[in-house]
Order: sequence, then C-alpha cells, then structure tokens
Amino acid sequence: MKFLKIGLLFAVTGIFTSTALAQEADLIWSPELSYSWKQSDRLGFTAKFSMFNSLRDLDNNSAVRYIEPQITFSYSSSPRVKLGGGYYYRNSTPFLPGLQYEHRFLEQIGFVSYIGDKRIAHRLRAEQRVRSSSYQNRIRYRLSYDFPLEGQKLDAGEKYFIVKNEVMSAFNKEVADAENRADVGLGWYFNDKQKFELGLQYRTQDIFSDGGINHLFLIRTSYYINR
Amino acid sequence: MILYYENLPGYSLLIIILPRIANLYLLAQKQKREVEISIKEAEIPAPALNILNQFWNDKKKVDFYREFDGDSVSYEAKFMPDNHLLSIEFNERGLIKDIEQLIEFDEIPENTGNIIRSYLNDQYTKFKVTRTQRQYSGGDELTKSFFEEDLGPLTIRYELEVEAQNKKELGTFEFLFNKNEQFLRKRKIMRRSLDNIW
Repeated sequence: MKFLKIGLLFAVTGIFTSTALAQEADLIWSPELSYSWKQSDRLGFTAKFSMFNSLRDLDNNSAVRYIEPQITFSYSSSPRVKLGGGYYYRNSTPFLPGLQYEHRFLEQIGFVSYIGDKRIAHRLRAEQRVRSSSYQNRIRYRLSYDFPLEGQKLDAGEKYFIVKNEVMSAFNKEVADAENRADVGLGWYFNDKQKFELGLQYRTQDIFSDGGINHLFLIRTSYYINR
Repeated sequence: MILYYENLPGYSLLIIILPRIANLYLLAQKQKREVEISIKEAEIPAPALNILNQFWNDKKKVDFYREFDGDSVSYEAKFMPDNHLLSIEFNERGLIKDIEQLIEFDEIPENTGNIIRSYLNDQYTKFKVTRTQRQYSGGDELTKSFFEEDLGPLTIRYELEVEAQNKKELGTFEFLFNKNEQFLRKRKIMRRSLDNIW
C-alpha cells in the first residue's frame, strides 16, 4: 500500500510536469528551508531561504530565477489568532550580470481552527514590494487545510496531506492584476521538530492582463525545522 | 578538493545544500517516536476482543488502534454505541485499563461543571473548553459495570481540553478533575507547528 501511494505521487508529479512542458508554461522547482523558533508562548520567529528555479533553463545561467532569504515574526493574540510581520530580500537572476533586487515588507493576520488533528488556517497578508525597477502593493488571502493520512492523530514517522489555495491582487498607481495559486502536497512528519513537504502548485497569473492569462506549474520541496 | 562558490553555476549550490538536508532527515529518524496506528481487528489481543464481544453489537463500526509511547504498547477500540464516541483502552496483554466517553461540557453534573468553570475562571483571563471526556476506571469488572450502567463502583474523572490564556500562559491545556470537582492534573498540549500553513 505504501509503495502504491508513493508510486501514485510520482505518477501525479510526472503527469503534472509533462502537462506543463506540453503547454509550454513555466515549470519551476522551488526548494525551501525554514527554521522556526519560539521566544515565548506568544512570540515566534521564522527564518526561511527559498529559491525559484526554471526547469526549462537548466542548461544556462538563467536557471536560478531568484534566491530569497526572509525573516518573519508572529505574535499570538489568542490560541487561534496570530498577528505578524516580516521582511524578504529577493535577488533575481543572481547568475546573470546586473543586480535586480526586491525589498519586501509584510504584515499578516492568521486564524487556525482544529477538528481533532485536522487544521484549517486562514491567512490575510499585505505586502509592500520595493523593487529595483518599480513599487507594488499586494493583498493576499490563503486558505490551507492539512490532515493526517494514518489514524486520527499525526504521530512522528507518519505522512499528512495538505491543500492550499491563495488569491491575490497586486497593484500600484498605474496597474492592477490578480493571481491564483492552487497547491496540493504530501508531508512527511519526522517528529515535532522536522518535516518535509512535496507540493505541486498551479499558478494562474496576470488574470486581468490584456496579454492573456499566464500559467505556471511549480514543484515545491520544503523542509521545516523547529527549535 | 576546494570548491569556490563564486565560480559555481547556480545548480551546484543545490548539490551542496541537498546532502545536508538529507543528513537532517537521518538525524530525525534516530529520535524517540510516539506512534498511534490504525490496526485490524485480528491484531487486537484475544482477551481484549473477548471483553469487547460481550458488550459490543458487531453491526456497529469499531476502529482499532495500537499505541506505542516509547516504553509500552497499548490498544484502543473506538466506536459509537450511542451519540457518544467511546474509547476502550487495553494494555499489551489485552487487560482493560479505562473507558473514555466523549461528552459535551454541559453533560457534566451541574454542580461539578460550575466548580470546574469557576476554577478555570480563577486561573485564566480567557478560556474555552474544546473537548470533554468522562473517564471510567475500576478493575476487571469495568466494562460490565459500564454497560450495565452500574456506575457506583467505578472511579469517574473528567478530562478537559481547554484553550486558555492569562498574562503568563497561552495555549491548549489538558485538565483532569475527579467527580468531586478536585483538580488532579494539568498538562500543556503541544500542538504541531503552524509553519507550513501560517
């Protein structure tokens, strides 16, 4: 049964990749490494490093679209509500000549509810993106749901399933547009300190653009560490 | 061999990072694990099944679990004989340990409920009871007494999950009270990190 599930996962990943290639859409691999720690019951921090790599450009220096270190904090105003903020720095096409950067500031509020060990989380985020070439605001709302695949409780060594959808609108004085990100993933919960997720994400970008909708397929590998 | 990072193409950095991530995975595998897994009826010890068969209408669905806490193994049978989820726990040899019944907080006798609520009010500025279980224990005749509703000889306790906060604490806690409203135990429930959904 275990082999069947893993086989199914790889089959879906394969179909996903070949669909993306056939459609000539962007195909991205995004590895992430996240490290979180709690200062108190209420205050927590997360440092994260992520990359955005184009699988179509593996043979040249534009394969790495960007690298992005980030730091965020959260303050729990109740056991279910968190407020937070943070800063991202993005270095775009780091292996091509010319510095292209983005300083991103964010503020967010999240609400989580539990049904046993199943979790539903809402997150509303505002971003200010100061780029080397422009300025942009963004509003994002994400709904996430994860649940154990074996038994009622997620124990160390077990797997979980996660599904998310995020809608967002980016705007400044001149232009505005929207994007949707649908994401499904399988998680390996090694213990309460470490877990790994393999996710497949489909992005519908530039929804209101005259040039038509842009499709992006993304394979996400995320490793989470908690202190 | 010495690798100079500035001379590497982008993907070589990943070749350096990924083995380190793999090492973290191996480290995680060596740590102590607490696991509850779903099992089939045939995997339950015979004495436990004998006890269940005396009182359980087999038309009702029962879920079986094996739990390993790092030191010992126990078994649980969960089913819903009426409107309350029932969990019967057995030790490794199949001897009964206790019965837990999922109830609403309002089903606790009024006086006991009021005293528990007052206790929590004194401890926290805000609280919400999110789960209430009535625990029955009392030796070999526990199942018989429970299903025949002869509760006199049984020890009754209430286990509550409470989301609570005050100036010093914030989180989800498990409280245990006896039927005489005495506080017996408090434990903090360690929730999974929200880092992947927050």
